[in-house]
Amino acid sequence: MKRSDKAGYVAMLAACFFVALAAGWTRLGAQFDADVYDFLFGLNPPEAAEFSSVVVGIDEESLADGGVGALRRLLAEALPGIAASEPKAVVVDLILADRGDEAEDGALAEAFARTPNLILATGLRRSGEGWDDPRPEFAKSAAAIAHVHSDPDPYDNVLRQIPLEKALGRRRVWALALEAFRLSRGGGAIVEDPAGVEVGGIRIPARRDDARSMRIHYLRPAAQAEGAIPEVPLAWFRNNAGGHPALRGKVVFVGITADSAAQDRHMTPYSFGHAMPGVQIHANAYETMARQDFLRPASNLAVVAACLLLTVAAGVLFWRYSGWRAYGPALALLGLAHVAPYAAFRNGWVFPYAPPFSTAWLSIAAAATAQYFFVRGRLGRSEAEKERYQRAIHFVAHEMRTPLTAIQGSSELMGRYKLPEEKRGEMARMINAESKRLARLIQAFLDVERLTAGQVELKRAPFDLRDVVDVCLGRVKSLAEGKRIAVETKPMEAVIVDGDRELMEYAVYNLLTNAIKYSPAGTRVSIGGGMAGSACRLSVEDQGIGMDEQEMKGLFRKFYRTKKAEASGEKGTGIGLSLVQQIVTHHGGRVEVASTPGAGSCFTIVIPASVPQPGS
Amino acid sequence: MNSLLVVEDDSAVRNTLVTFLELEGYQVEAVSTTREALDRLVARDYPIVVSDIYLDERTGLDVLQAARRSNPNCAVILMTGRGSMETVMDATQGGAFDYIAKPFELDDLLATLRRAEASMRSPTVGG
Repeated sequence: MKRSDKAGYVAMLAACFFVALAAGWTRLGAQFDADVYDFLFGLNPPEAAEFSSVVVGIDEESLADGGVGALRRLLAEALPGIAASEPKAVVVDLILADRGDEAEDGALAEAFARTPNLILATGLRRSGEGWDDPRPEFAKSAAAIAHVHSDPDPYDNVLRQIPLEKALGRRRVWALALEAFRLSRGGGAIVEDPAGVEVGGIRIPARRDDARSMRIHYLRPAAQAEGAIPEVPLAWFRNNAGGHPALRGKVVFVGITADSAAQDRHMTPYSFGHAMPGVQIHANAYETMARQDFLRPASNLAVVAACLLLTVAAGVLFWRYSGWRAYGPALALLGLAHVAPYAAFRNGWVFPYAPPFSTAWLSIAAAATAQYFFVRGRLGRSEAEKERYQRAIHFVAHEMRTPLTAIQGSSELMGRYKLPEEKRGEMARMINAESKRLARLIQAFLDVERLTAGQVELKRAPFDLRDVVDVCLGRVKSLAEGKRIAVETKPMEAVIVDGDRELMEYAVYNLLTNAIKYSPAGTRVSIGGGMAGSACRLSVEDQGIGMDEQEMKGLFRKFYRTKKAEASGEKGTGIGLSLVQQIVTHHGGRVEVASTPGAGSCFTIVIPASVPQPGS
Repeated sequence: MNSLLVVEDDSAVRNTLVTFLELEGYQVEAVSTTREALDRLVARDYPIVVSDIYLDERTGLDVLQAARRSNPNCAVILMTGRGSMETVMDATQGGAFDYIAKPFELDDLLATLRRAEASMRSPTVGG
């Protein structure tokens, strides 16, 4: 891979990384994450075990005697039975802020006074101007006042977490579940730091900068009896004397469960269209703490690091390997991106699904696509190079056959016929000359290959460029005359080049023969130049077929021939100009081209040179 | 003996062919460009033409056409070092008597010339 290819590849993967990461954090990505989170609850249900809480539900049956208007009386009648059951704490999930019937309120206050570890509910008013605290005659018996607020997802209204604290002005109130947990653990203080709170030696992950939100690790809903938090109807205590054995040593959550009365219902990951009453949600939050079965959200840094790792892995895979050696591990990488959030969930970590999912798919798809196009491009270039090389081999083979024909024929003649001495001498000289020509051809071909491979060492020595021009003009004279093309030399001052004279001769000769070959009869080719700064500019100008911009782009490619050159019928390999450029570049120079289709071309060699010093 | 026109741009090959064919008794005229060849073919008929295919801006196939126009019975033998199938097809479809690949044995060329002469004596012409 070329440096520019590598940079492009890295830039493309970086773009994929940022796009995928950004997509993962859009609303759609967040919803996707939430849906997967809910799905993981179904895949990973909590095991049925000992419960630390019981819900005393004010269900339809309990409300049969008086309805919602008789709630305080019903509660006052049931509380002695609940207290007699010897629970650890009693949480009343009812806002009792307004004044009710005087007799009923008095009876309820009396019942509260006889209930140990009582937690009463409060909540921020809708106006946000204060708290709906329990009436003072109720509050005086409470061991704690706690808030009832929840934190449903703004996108789908599913309740996945609750805020453990709510504050208004200088007053801060803890959540019902947290206060219940505190009282169940001996009633000590709640110790807090930025990352969480600690109750009775148990650390609860709830970041301060996230409103102390705690994810609820829901147990199965009440509709699925096995694995759900046990529930006792409030009516049971009206119909039975004494306590209920299920409540002994538990935290009791009292609240409305009747479909017709409960307004604080929320969808949960287990809901499937059936909302869960608030009292059960508080009980679930309490169980999360009691079981220490917390779900900790992964930090943003961890998510970014994981996504970056996926992108880098995909990039390295398709950079270093191809075929199944790349696609096999890539599939494993995709699998990892899909399975990792599940594995994390099982271990109490909530890892978002969308960012690694989109990063893995996008990075792998992009890397694989880039590899496909790179390999295809390389194959195409290789095929084209091979084809051009074969053409060159054919050409060289033909060039070799011509002197071979002369050598073979002449030597046969000398052996077969009794030739005059003069003729024999002529034949011998011809064989000698053609053998040398053949040797030169082979050497030139090898030089071309070595030069192309960068294996040629320049035989540097100072020479006058005018001498090179003169030699080349002599060599192209017969070719030019054969095509009736006038070759003229522009006046040129002495220019000293420190370089390989033989190679420079090749370069100049090549430009001259090209100019003559691709010019129509009767036209003119001119050569000349001089110093320009510290370099010499030597130009060969013709009035030939010329080239358009598209043709000029590939001009110096090895074995490249323009369509006009092919159509001209002139012999050529398309290697000459490539070699001219390589020779000039080896000398620290460059080749400039100006051309107009149908009007002609001008090739200029720009090469470091100097004027001869006086007396040198 | 027949007279021959040899068209070959390489002087070494051309001289060798001229020497050989003259020693074999042919009256040989040799040229190095297609222009010269076409001029000669306009000026007179040659029963046999031996021409290289790749010459200058025009090729041996142009020589072949000119020779056939000048003398429909002319036997044109084409030579080249590039033995591609397309070239052979073009040469034979254009009415060349035969095609000979460089480098060749002088006897092979001679045998081809003899066959050309024999075919000229027979009622049909072709290779």
